[in-house]
Amino acid sequence: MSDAKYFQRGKIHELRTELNSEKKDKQHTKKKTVLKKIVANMTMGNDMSALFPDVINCMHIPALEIKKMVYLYLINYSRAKPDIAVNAIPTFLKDVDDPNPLIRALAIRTMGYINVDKIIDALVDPLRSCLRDRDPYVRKTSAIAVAKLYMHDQVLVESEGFVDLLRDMLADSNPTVVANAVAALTEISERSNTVTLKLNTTVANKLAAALNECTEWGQTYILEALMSYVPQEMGDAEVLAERISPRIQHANSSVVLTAVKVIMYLMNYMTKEEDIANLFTLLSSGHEVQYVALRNILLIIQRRPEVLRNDIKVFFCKYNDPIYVKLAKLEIMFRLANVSNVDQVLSELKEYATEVDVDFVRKSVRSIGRLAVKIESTADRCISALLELIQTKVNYVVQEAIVVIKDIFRKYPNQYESIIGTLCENLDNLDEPEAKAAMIWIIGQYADRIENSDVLLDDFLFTFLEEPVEVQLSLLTATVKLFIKRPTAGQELIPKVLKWATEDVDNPDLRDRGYIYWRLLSTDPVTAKTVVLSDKPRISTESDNMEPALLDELLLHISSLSSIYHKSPQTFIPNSKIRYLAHSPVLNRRYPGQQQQQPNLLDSDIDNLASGSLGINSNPYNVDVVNIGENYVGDLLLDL
Amino acid sequence: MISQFFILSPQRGDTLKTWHKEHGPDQDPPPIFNVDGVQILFTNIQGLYFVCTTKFNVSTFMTFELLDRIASLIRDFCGILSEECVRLNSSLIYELLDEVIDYGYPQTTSTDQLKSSIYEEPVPVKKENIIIDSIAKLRAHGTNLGFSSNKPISKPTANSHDEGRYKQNEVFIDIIERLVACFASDGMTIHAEINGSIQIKSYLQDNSEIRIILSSNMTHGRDMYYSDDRFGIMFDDYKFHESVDSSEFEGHRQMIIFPPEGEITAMIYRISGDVNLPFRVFPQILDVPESPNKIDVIIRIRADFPEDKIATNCTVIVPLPHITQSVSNEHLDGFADQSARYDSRVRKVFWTINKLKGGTEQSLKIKVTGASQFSPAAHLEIGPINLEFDIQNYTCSNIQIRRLKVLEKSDSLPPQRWVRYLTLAESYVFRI
Repeated sequence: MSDAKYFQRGKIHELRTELNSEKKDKQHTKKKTVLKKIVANMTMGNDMSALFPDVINCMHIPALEIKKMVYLYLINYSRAKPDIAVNAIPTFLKDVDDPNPLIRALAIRTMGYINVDKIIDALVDPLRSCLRDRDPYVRKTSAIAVAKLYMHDQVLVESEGFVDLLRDMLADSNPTVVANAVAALTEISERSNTVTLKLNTTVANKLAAALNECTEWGQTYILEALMSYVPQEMGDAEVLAERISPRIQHANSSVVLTAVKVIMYLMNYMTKEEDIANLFTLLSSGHEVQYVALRNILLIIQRRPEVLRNDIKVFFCKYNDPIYVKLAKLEIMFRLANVSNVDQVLSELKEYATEVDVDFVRKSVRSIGRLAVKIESTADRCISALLELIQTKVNYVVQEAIVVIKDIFRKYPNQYESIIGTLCENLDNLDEPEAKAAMIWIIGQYADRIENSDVLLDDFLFTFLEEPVEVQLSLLTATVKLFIKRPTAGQELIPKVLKWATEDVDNPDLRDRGYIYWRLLSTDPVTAKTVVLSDKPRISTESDNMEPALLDELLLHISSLSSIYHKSPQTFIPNSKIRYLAHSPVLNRRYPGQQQQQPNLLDSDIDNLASGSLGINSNPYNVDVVNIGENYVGDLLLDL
Repeated sequence: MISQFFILSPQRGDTLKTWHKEHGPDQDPPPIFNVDGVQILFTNIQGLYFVCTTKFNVSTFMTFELLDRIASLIRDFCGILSEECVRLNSSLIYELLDEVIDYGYPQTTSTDQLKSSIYEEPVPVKKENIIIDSIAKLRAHGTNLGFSSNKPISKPTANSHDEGRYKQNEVFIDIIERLVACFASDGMTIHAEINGSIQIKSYLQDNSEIRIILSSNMTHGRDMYYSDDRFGIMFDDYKFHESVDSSEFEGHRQMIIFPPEGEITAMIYRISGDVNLPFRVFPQILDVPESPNKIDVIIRIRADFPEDKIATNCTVIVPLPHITQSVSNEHLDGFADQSARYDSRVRKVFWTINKLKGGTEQSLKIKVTGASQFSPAAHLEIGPINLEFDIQNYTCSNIQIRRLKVLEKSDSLPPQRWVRYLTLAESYVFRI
């Protein structure tokens, strides 16, 4: 008999008549059929709550299949009908005393789901006895039921002493029970302001010993809980890390990565290094697991670059990788690039830059530029690769290349001017603000080397008032530079631009910058020259590195959603607890600023791959000035 | 922990609407994203979306592993995984989920353990609907999905309450190797890697013990000193399922397995470096002297594997420049079982060879006419050439099961053993 026909939109009264039919139904097959129909309707979102009293009447039927379906129904509709749901209590209370452990557990499990005051009250006593049931299946179900109860009523759980009962269960003889108790305690301490899970060395070691016997899921819970252990002596941390390290070989990736997390955490409390290199096999799994692995590897290599044994090829993109995997790989390739493997990396990037996926191509082009900034010896080859790409005339490639070439010019001033001519051939195609601003910056910066720089700028100025602020700011500064370097060429443009900036534009940044230039130029042209054309601070790709404090925090969240988004959990999960490296006499202080509060967040928007974390931030230059005054002062000083 | 779980079917019009509303219909969502504070994690298994939502900072690996396991459990309990099967067996799947997840916490995903608490009977899916479950479909999703041969899939792992129906005593073992290879334009191998897995689908009675000995010319990267065969294959990494006793693997290449009923991945391994690659492709781009708007691309493919093996479903995919206007193909070796077509939408030539024997060669000449002259930049846009294929009864690593012994405990039927080898291209790319 197939379930498909249960999916017809059932008429409530028909179902009721069928359910209440007095016909002979020895095996309860008819009741079963009706209940299946009801469940199927429920799945489709049809409101079946009108049948509540009738369904409750079926509770007493001694067939497990029926009981399961009735309970499923109760979980769904009890909140809508709390008054009638109370009628289920007698049967529940009978079931929690049933000789069959499956039924006892089923009753406890179901009651825990139902957030109705009277049922919660009725649950307290049976739950207490079931937590000490002789059957481990019942005990493990009861442990989770405590966590459920805690969600409904924190005060009740604490006043009834359930937290202590859970704590006692950590010593249970059955590892699955231990694991669930651990999971429940972890969840309670995550929700609670008063309860915090703290493990001492003895308990931590006992839990670690239970790992071998647990299911893979239980292992994950226990490992997760070990994050609440703060070693007070180096030896303790080492022993525990040693115990956990075999988990890294496990087939379940969740166990693997949680074990890595715990070991990396423990290493903050010890001097010995543990081997955590075995992460490659995760990369041969499905795309989803690969993606998660890559995002985590990106975190791990920022703290421990040696774990990857220089095997950069593993991260080369496959043609059928989905875009999110490719982008994650690109970022890792960039970070792992060094003098010895840069040739390989560059030739890969060049290949990627001619593929079809626009996002991927853009990020590849950008990475080539960043590579030039990162590794000086490769700058020449990167530049020629970029020039080759500009020749393809593919619009977005050209624009992306110009953006990164600007950074290369900043990093290596006066070395690559010869390519300016090629860049200027592509002016007409620029339609993205970032690329325009970059090109204008180049023209301003080299106003005295580019013969027709005044003509080029004038062309751009034609649409000044329609441009986005980013481009306007860039035009303003470039015109001032032109004027200072070649007064005759700039004298016609400068009054026009200053007037626009100060009178016709509403943006305060632009207006204020305009005034500053105006006053500078009119009061003291010599000083204006030293200010505007002063040496710029060096740029480097180090500013792409994550804030150490954020990195520290994220490393405590390896494998969780945080580690995918690279954001602190507080930013996307309200009321989540902050994790930090707890103080202990043996806590290493390798990284200054490790304990700083309130980490800075990355700008990257996880929902938008196009502006993913690969991009150079709008303010990539590590200058403290930015934080002192208003934003425009920063921009002004930085972008001159 | 996990708040909700869904199985969605794109064939019935379920799509991830919220994502596409913001990002357009073409961009695929990453497997994890956030909508109004709800975290969504999903995976695509055999054409069905398995989706979890949560408001907590959950372990992502746990969620994906769980989704994967739920899919295998449905396969084990219902026989196959398909939309129809999920629909037919909704009560059974509810019952399963109730045992597998409690309050968002995975409890157990072991088929053996679950058997004792599941009471619903599976509803069989009609035979003819099962054929979709073919290799091609599995490969399209690229993950380490259930791979046992087509045969056993229709047999549900029946539960123990129904002894009468449950008579087969067999075990299916698949060794599947997915190849990742990339060749430079000069034919040098840039990167080659085998991602292998040994899948076991067991219908053995009494949880019999299985002993497998792999052919011995293999060594693990670290213990190469013990190997007297210096041409032996080096594993870079390997991992075993928890039901595998691998204590004798280093010394004797022996695995002792107590397979739970249903399907497991007993071992996964990775081999990189010196790999026997089954195919070479030699591309050649010729300018046509009299007309600069035309070029010829000649592709020659050579099968470098033993003559008694046959590669099937070979497809060579050649991307052409965006100025391409028209394309004509010319098969240089007159041979019937192949075809080539140009898809102007994606600007790629698809050259399909249904059967390619080991040790043979085939060539194709693609005549391309462009809208304008072929500049050097346009040449850059040709390629990289991509190859898809599968080769039955062949492994690139030469890994073989040398012995397969099922130790029987009771006087049941003699166990049937089925072994299959398969090599697939995961990403097989030639640059030009």
